Amino acid sequence: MKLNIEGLLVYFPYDYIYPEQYSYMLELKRTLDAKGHGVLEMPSGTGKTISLLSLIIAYQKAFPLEVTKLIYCSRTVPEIEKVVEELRKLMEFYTKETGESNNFLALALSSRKNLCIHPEVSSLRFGKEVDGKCHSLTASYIRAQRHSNPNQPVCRFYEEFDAVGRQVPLPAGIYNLDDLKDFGRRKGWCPYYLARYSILHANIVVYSYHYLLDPKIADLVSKELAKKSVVVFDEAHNIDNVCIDSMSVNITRRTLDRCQNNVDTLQNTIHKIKETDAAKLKQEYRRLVEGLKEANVARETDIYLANPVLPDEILREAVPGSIRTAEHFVGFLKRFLEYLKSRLRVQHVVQESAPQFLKDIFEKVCIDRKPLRFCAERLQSLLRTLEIADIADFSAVTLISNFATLVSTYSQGFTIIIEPFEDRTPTIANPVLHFSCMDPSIAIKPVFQRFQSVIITSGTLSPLDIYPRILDFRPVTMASFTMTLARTCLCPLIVGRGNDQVALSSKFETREDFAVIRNYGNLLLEMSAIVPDGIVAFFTSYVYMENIVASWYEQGILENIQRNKLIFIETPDAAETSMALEKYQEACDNGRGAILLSVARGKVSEGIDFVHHFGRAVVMFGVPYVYTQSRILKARLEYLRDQFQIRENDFLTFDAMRHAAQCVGRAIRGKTDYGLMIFADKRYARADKRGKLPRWIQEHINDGSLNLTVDEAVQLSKHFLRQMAQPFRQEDQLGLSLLTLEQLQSEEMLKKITQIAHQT
Amino acid sequence: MASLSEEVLLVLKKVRQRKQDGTLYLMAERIAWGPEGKDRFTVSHLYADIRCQKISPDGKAKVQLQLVLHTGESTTFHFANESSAVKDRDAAKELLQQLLPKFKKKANKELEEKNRMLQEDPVLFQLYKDLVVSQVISAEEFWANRLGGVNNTDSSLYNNKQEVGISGAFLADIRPQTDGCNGLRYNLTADIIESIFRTYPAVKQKYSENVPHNLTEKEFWTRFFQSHYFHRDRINTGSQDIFSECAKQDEKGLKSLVIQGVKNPLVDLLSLEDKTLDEGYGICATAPSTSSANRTVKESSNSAIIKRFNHHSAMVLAAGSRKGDVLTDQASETSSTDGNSRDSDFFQPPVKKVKLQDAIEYEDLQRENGPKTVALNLKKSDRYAHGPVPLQSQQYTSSQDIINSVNYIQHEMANYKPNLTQVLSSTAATSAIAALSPGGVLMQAGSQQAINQMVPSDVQGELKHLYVAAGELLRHFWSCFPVNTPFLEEKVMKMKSNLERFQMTKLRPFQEKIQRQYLSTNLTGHLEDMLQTAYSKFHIWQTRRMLRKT
Repeated sequence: MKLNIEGLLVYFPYDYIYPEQYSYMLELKRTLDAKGHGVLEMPSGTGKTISLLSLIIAYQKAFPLEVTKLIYCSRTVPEIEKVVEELRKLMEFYTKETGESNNFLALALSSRKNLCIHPEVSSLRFGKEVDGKCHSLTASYIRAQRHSNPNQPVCRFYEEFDAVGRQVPLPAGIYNLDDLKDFGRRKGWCPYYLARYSILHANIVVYSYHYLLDPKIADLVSKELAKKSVVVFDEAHNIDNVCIDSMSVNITRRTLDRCQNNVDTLQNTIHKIKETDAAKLKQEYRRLVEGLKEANVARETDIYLANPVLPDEILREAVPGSIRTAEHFVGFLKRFLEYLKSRLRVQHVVQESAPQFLKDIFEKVCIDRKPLRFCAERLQSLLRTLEIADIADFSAVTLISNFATLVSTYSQGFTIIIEPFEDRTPTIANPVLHFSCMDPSIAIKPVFQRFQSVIITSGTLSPLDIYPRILDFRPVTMASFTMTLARTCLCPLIVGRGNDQVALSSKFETREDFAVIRNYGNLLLEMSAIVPDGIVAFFTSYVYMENIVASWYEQGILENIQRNKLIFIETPDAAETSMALEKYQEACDNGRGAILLSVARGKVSEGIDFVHHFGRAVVMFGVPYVYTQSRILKARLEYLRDQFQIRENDFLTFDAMRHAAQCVGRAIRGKTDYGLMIFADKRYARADKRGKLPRWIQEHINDGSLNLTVDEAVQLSKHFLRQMAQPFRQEDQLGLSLLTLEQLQSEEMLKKITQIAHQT
Repeated sequence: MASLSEEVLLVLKKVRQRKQDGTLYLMAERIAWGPEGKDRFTVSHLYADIRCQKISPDGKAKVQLQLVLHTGESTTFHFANESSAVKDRDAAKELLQQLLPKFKKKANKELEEKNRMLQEDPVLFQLYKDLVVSQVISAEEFWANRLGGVNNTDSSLYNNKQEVGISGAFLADIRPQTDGCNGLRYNLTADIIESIFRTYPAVKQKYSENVPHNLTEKEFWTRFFQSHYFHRDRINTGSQDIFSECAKQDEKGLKSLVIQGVKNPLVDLLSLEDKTLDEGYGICATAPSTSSANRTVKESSNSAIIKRFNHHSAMVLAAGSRKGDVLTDQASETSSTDGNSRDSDFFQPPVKKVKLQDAIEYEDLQRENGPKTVALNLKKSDRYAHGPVPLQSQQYTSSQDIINSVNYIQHEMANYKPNLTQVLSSTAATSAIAALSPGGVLMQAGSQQAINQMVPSDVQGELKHLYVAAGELLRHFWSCFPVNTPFLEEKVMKMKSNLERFQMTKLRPFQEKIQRQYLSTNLTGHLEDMLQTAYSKFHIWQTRRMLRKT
C-alpha cells in the first residue's frame, strides 16, 4: 500500500498495516526532518524493521540530497540477513508498483568468515583463523613479493578483484551475504573486499555495531562513510555495553608472557633485517620523522587493527623521537612490559585512575605520556615494515600497545583495577589488570557527531530517558509505542509466593533456600503440565541455574517434569547449546513439547527468538541483576553517579529489568503469536521494578496478577491458554490492530493513532 | 489331575485360597489351583487374562500373592507352608514374572492387530461379518491364514505404522523402593528395559556382550543401578564399572553431535556473533574459568548432570524418530561431507533462505495467500441449490395446478378398465420378460454393461459380498489340495461342509430374494458354478480316497 506520511509518499510492501507502524513512521519522519537523533521503542514483532526501511528509503528517494545513505546496524548475523531480506521485499514492491527497475544498491557486510569464498580459507572454523589466513595471502608485501617470486601463494579472488573489481561499481541491487558470495564466485572476485569497497557508494549498508562503534575496526571500514547518512541501531537495548566493551582491555599474566615472546621475536627480526636490508628501517625512520603517517598505499588488506582511540583524539603530529628507531621502540616496549609485570605482582586489589597510572609509570620507569600515546601507531608501522606474515601471533603485543595508547589518551571515564586473584578462588593467584571503560558515551560520541541522524530503537528501551543520559546525546524524539491488540495475546503474571506462602525471590539471602528452590520447581512442573509445546525458563546466572538444576534433580522434580516434556539446558559451550536448541525446536515441532532452561544475559536470551509454539511460556526465575560484587561494576556505578547523577540502584534495576524484558519478550513475535510471561520473583510486584518494564508489557499487568501463588498463576494460565487456542482470523484484527488503507485514512483512526506514541 | 496333558512348570503345595488348603499349579498357558483331595481345579486363569500380580510386603505375617485379571477381578493365594512360604511365593512370582509379559504381549498384539486390520479394511470387515459372525467358519479359522499372510506379505504396510516413542521420564518410573533393611528395590518391566535399550544403545551392547555368559540378567541390572552411569550426579571415577565405558561412548556421541553442528543457521550460536572482540578486549573477559583444575567437585558434578539431561533428551527424541531418520541422516551426512568441500554454499542456502523468509514474514499483514475467496451473498438460496433452469420452464405451476392434476389422475385411476382382450397370454408375457431381463436371450449382448444399470445397488452390494465371502471360502478349500496330511484331510472335509453351509444360509436366500424382485437368476449362476466345481473336485477326491482305502 502507498501511505502518505505527512506529505511523504511511502511504499509499504504489505496490504495491511499495524496502527503502531504508522505512528512509528510519523515519529521517524519528524526525526529525519529535524536532522536530529531519536530513541524509539516499539514492541518486538510489530514490524519495526520494515517500517524503518520503508520510511527511510522513501525519504531517501524523495530527498536524495538530504539523506544519501542508510547505515543499518544490527546485532547478530541472522538479524543482519533478515534485514536485507526485508529490504529485498520492499524493493520488489517498489519495482512492482512503479515499474521502474531498482536503482538502489544495498548490501550486507560481515566478517571474512561469513564472506570468504577461497576454498581453503573459508573452510576454517574460527573467524580469527580466517582473518589470519586471509592476511597471509593478501597482505600488501606478500603481493609485492609475488612479483619477484611467482610461487608465493596469493588469493586469486583478491587479485582478480584488485585488478578489475574497482573499475565498475557493483550493479544496483540487493545483496545479502550469500548473494555477495554468488556474485563473487561468478566474477571471481573476493566478496569481502568487494563489499568493503562498495559500502562507500551503496545507498544502504547493513552491518554489525562493531563496524561503527569499535574504533579499531570503524577506522578501517567506516571511515569514509558520508556525513549525510542516517544511522540506525536496531536491537539497541544493549548498546552501552557494546560501547564499553570496544574500549576496554584486560591484561593477564599470560598476555604478558606472550607479549614477551612477541617482543623477543620483534627484536630478532630487527636484527636480521638490519643485516640484510638496513635501508628499509632507515626509510621507515625517515618517514616517521617527516610525520608522513600512513604513506603506504594498497593498505586495505593489512588487517592491523586501527588505532584504538577515536579519530579526533589521535594526535596529528610526528611520532616522538624516543621511539622512532626500531630498536628504541622495542626497548621502550620492554620497559613498559616489565613495568606491567611488576604491577601484576600485587598482593591486594589496586584501583587507580589513568592519570595516577601515568604518574606512577613516569616515576618508576621514566616513561612519558607522549610516546605512550603513539605506541599503537608505532607498532603498526613497525609490524608493516618487518613484513610479519602471521599477524594473529602478535595479538598480545598489539593489545599492550593499544592499552598504552588508550591509557595515555583518556584521563576521564576509565579506571584501572588490578586484582591479584578471582573473588571465588582467593587461593589461586591469577592477577588481572582491567582497564575498563566506564562511559559508553566515549565510543559512540563520534557517531552522534558525525552523522546527521542516529536512530536508536529496540523492543525494550524502557525507561527511555536513561539512554540519552548514559550515551550523552540530545534526541529530538523519544517515543514508546504500545502494541494495539485485538486480543490480549500476552499474559504477564508475577508469581510472588509458593503454594505454601513462601516468598519467592532470587535475592542473595534466600538463594540457597530449599523452600524457594522447591517452589520454583513446582512452578515449572505445574506449567509443564498445562502449557503446550515449548517453555523457556531463564535463570539469573549460570551458577544459579546449575545449583537449582542439581537440587531439582535430587528432589526428583526434574523427573516429574520429564513426564510432561523433555528438558534441554543451556551450557557454557556454544556448540553444545546450539545442539540443545535445535533438539528443543525439534521436540516442539514433533509435538512432544520441551523445556529449555537458559540464562538471562546468555547467548540464547540475546539472540534466539522463540516464535509461536517454540515459546508458549517464558518463566523468569528471579530478577537478573548483574553480579554486583564486581569491582568494575562498582567503579562504573560510581562514575554514573558522579557524572550523570544516576543512582546506583536505579541503574542496577534498569539493567536487570531490560534483561528481564528481553528474556520474556523472546516469546512474542507478532500479533498472531501468544505467550505467557511469568515473572517468578516477588520483587517484580514493586512499582520501581514494574515501572521499568516496557510499556507494552506493563499495560497488561493488572493489580490482580501482582502477587500470585503458583496455583493461582496456573489457574490464570489455563484460562489464558484456552482463550488463545481459539481460532484467530484476520477479520478479528481488522480495524483494531490491523488497518487497510481506507481505515487508516479515517479521521477517527488518525486521532487514535496519535495516542499510540507515548512521548517522554 | 494328571489327566491333563499340559506341561506343568511348577507345583506348590499348601497354598490356601478362600481359606481352603490346596495346590497351586503353574502350567504352560495357565495358572490353576485345586483344593486338597479333589481332582479338579476350582481356580484357573489363562496367563493372557492376567493383568498383573501383586505380592504382600516382606514384613507381613501372611505370605500372599494376588493376581489381578483384565476384568478387574482378583484372586489371592496364601502360601501357608511354614518352612518355605516365602520361597514358594517367590518361586511362583519369578515364574509368573517371566511368563506374563510373553502372553500379555502376544494377546494384546494379536488383538490389536486384528482390530486394526478390520478397521482398515472394510471388505475384510464385511467378510468377517459374513463368515464369522454368521458362524459359517470360526474366528480362528478365519484368522488362521489371514494373520500369517499379513505378517509375511503385507509387512511393509505393517512397518509403516508409527512407532511408539519413549516416555521422557522412563527412568523416573523406576522408583526405587526401600525394602526395610537398607536395600533398594527397583521394579523393571519389559517396557522399561526396552526403553533403556532404545535410548542407550551402549547399554544394550553391554547387555548382549555380558548377559548370557558373564552375568545373569539380574546381576546386570543390579550393576546398572549401582553404576555411576545411572546416577548422573556422580562423577565417573571407578574403572571397574562396566558402564564407565558407556558413559564414555555417550560422551563421544554427544561430541560428534556437537561437531556435526546444527542445520538451522538461526539457532547456531557459534555464527551468531558477527565480529567477536579479540581476546583481551572487552569488559567481561574474566568469565569464570572453566579449567577443570579449580572447579570444585560439586560444580563439575552439576555440569555433568546438565550434560546428561541434554544427552538424555536428545536420545529420547532420537529414539522416537530413529526409523524415519535413517534416511534423513544419510542425507544430512552427505551434505555435511559436502559442507567441508568448497561448494558447501550450494547446499546451504535453501534451508537458510526458507528460515529467513519464515522469520520475516508477517502473515497477518498480507492478504491471505492463494486465490482470494469471495463470500457468497445469495438472495435466493434455493435457486442456487437447484442450479440454472432453462428459460422456457419459467411458467411455474402453482400449487393449485398440482392439486388439480393429482385429482385428475386419481380420477383416471379409479375409472381404469383393463382391456383384457388385447393382452398377451401369460406365458408369452413371462417369456418375453425373461428374454428381456439381463442374461435373457434378447439381452445376452448387452448384459455385461447392463448389470450395473439393471440391478439395484443394494443387490449389487450384496452380490459383491457374496462373491468375496465365497472366494474366501473357496480359497480355503482349494488351498487344501493336494491333500497329503491328515490335518489337511480334516480341513478339506470341514471346508466342504462350510461351503455347503454357505450355499444354504447365504446363497439361497439371496437367490430367493432376486427371484422375488424379478431379476435374472443368472446373477448367481457363476457363484453356483464355482461351488459346483469345488464339490465335484471334492467328490473325485473322496472317491479316490475310498478306492485307496479299500
